[in-house]
Amino acid sequence: MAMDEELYKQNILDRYKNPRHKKVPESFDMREGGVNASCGDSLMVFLKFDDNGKILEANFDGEGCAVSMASTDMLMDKIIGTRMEDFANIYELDISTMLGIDIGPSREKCAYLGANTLRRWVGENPLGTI
Amino acid sequence: MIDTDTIKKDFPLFNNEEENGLFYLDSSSSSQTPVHVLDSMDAYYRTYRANTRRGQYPMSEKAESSYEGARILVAQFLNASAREIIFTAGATASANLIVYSLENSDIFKEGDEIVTTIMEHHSLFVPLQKLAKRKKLIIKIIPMKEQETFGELDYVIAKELITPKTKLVAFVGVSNVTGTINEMKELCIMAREVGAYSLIDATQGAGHMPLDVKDIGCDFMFFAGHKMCGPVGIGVLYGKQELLEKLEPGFYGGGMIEEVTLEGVKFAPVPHKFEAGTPNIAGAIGLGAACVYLQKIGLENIQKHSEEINAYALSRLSAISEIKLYCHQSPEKNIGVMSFTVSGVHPHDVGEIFSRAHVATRGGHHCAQPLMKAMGVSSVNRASFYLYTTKEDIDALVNGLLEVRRVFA
Repeated sequence: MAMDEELYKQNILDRYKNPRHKKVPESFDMREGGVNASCGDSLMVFLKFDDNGKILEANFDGEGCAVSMASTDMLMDKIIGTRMEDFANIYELDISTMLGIDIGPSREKCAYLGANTLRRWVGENPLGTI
Repeated sequence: MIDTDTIKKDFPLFNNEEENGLFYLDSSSSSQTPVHVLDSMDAYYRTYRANTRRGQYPMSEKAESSYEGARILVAQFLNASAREIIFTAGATASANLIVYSLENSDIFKEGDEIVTTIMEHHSLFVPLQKLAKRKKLIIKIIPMKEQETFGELDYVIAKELITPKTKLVAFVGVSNVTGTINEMKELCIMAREVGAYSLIDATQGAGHMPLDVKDIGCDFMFFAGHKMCGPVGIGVLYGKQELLEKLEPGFYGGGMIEEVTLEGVKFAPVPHKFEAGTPNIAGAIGLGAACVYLQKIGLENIQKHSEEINAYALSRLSAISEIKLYCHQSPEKNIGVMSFTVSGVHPHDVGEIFSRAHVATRGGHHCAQPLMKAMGVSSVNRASFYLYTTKEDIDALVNGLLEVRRVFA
């Protein structure tokens, strides 16, 4: 039976196997951890800001499923050059557009892990259903 | 012996067009429900929908006798007496009820010890942990054996841990992760020898193997209906009659009293003392029907069937090099639960690919985080079997694994 590989589109698998931002940087201005206790995804986001408060460098390290790691890696791309206030404007649709797939209830926590880690850091409520 | 073709016809879900071609390997989480159980609950709702507790018209009397009749069926299922069967909202409700009841009865004093195991489900472990914090008790954990077969508790260490300071030995009869059928009788003997109570979480074993509370010798046991072909929302707490009579209940309300005045209360006799409020009447009736259904097939036959599927699954899974098994690998000592990881692929991704192949499994910590930590993982995939599981289900699982390998190569 040929599998519907929609969820594991090239970009998700590619980002999972070859992340662009997965490392613990030598120096950082902000560090925040995020965990999906129910499935064992866990990560730490590291940000560095420039003098104007914009994100200069964005990295993360951690262990988790392809969706959580790929989603976070893509998110790091997205936030470089923005301010932390902009984290409040990252919504579910942005994540699913970024990943290129609809996110079902069972994968929400994985897909939103990176975004929710940032949102929590600025005091925003998490994405996803309760 | 089990004829799965015939058995599957009893389960409407397998004959449901939409779920055609579903390979259901998640019975450890919740089992399928046969038409006999559905019909019994439907009959209640459609033809004698009334409350129990001695209303004075025929429909209510029928509800009462059906509910109490279900209690007798469950008692027979366990080789207990009806007064020893308490209906609850589920296994977790039962666990909380008995732990709180023991506490309420002043069983524990500061410094007393509780012995449990590393493979507990949170439904029992968390209540025990909270109890220990409230009453300043010490919890001792029976580990798994380091060498030899994976998944065995270390009974030598258990014997050392269970001392005259132990007030309660509470343990999982069958693990929902490793599938291990623990030596229930042996642990209950150890408890009895030091004068401790024994409490067994039988949730993974009930309906999958014969359970005889007199033979096992436990003081208390609990399980859920929905993992043994019964409906959701109903569970059982068994307790020796003389113990239940002495215990203070943990939950209060109507139906569990004999007399209430402004000053105080006199409780009803057991088991009603422990059944406050309108019970899950339909659920109890359904659970009674599940007991009848399973006993007709034969619990020994069901267990033998699981052993055959275990043997087949183990032979096929061991041929895949990326698989690491986290379950008991002796077919007779495993209830039919196989946990595993695929090297280099996160359990959630494995589960997703299974799902696309119509193989229903579960990935995660399975409400056993201390066990996950002891095994050195954060989560595992789990395939679990029951009386309707076939070799085709296992073949589909294996094909799913080959697909995982292909996608994540």
